[in-house]
Amino acid sequence: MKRLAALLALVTLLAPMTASARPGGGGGGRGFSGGGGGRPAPAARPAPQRPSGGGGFNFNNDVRPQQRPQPQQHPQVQRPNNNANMNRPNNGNGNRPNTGNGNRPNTGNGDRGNGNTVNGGNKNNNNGGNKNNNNGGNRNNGNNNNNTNVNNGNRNNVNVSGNTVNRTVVNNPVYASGGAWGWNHGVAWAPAPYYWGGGFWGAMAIGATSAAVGAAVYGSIVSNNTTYTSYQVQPSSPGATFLSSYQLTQVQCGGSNQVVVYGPQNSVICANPNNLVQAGNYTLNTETLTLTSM
Amino acid sequence: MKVRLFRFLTATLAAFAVFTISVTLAARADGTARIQQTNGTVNVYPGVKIQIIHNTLAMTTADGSGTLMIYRAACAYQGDVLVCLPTGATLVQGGSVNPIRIRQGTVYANLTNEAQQLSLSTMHIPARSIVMALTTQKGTYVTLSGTIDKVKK
Repeated sequence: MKRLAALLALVTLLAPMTASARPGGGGGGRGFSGGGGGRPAPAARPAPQRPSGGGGFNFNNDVRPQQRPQPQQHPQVQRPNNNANMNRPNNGNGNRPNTGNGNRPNTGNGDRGNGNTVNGGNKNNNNGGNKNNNNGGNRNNGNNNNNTNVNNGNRNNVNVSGNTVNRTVVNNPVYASGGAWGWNHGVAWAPAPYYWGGGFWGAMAIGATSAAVGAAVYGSIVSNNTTYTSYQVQPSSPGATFLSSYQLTQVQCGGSNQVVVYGPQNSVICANPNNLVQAGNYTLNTETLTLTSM
Repeated sequence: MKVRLFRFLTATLAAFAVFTISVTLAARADGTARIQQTNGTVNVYPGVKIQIIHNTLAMTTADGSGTLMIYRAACAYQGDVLVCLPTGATLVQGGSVNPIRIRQGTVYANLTNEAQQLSLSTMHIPARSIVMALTTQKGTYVTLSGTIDKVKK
């Protein structure tokens, strides 16, 4: 009988453990405890607006509209620049008007969409002596201009065939050898919509007026009749990592002799030049955090 | 007769104990999600299972009936804390898959084995844990915190 009593005591001890392991304290298959603004609610009582038909997260407001037919697809047929596709379903991007990216620098390689072809054989051509030697596969490009080097030994010439544009790539002094996304522990970064600069300069949400809500304005840049407002780069953001790697300090845009950096999603910031980066306009490659002159 | 009864009770209780312990060990998901609707209604979900699988963040209700999955985000490291701005989410629930449009939000993931302090904050994130807050386009406010149950790359 003593052993039986001991076993019964064991049952008594185990019972609460079982109850605590059961999520939510609810019964049956449901595992959630509903609450109303923090006040305790009976565990067995269903949440006020729990989805019908069982448990799960309450995203009623978010899911419901998706089941309705969406009449917004029709106006796309009347868009301009749709000459060849008037009778076809408008399901591609080919009919969308140009949103203006064609007139501003590309944030990626800087050579897409402008009709220029980068000569791959001309990469990583360190010109210590300011001479631009002909490289294999780079004939007839007419690029004999020398780049002005800033004695950092960190510049590459990128010759674009077909015209006389010479672009200077300033390799990142910290992360150049880190490979793709080396600045981010190898984790790929992609711009997030609804944030100024895709969130690269910090989590500054874009409001209805396309301005970053609550962010400090850091001047503006006018390029191709478009005004780009600049905002203060937030600490610990990828943009702050970029600035510190080049030892740049952000300043108000609009002055002369500035380093103007065009970043993701029509963003722009300005900084004073230093021994690593001379004044000028640059596009930023977010994969390698390199700057390319425009 | 007493001996038989005693043996039966012993076997039953032993089986019960094994079951209880196994349930206790399996139910280690300790995440807590809180979803607030635009009308103020709040649902709190304890025991949420948090998993990072193939670069997606999945949070599953304790009974497994619903999973909110963040499949796209802009992530950058702040020190040892991975900070992500989620941009794409999907709700897998009730036999259907529905997109959840995110307005804004931030996910802080501490994938290290030590507690980490958030930049410019006194807040600490426990080891291998997630702290998240986001707002959907419809105004639903979602928070989640808890230990990461599984990471699979």
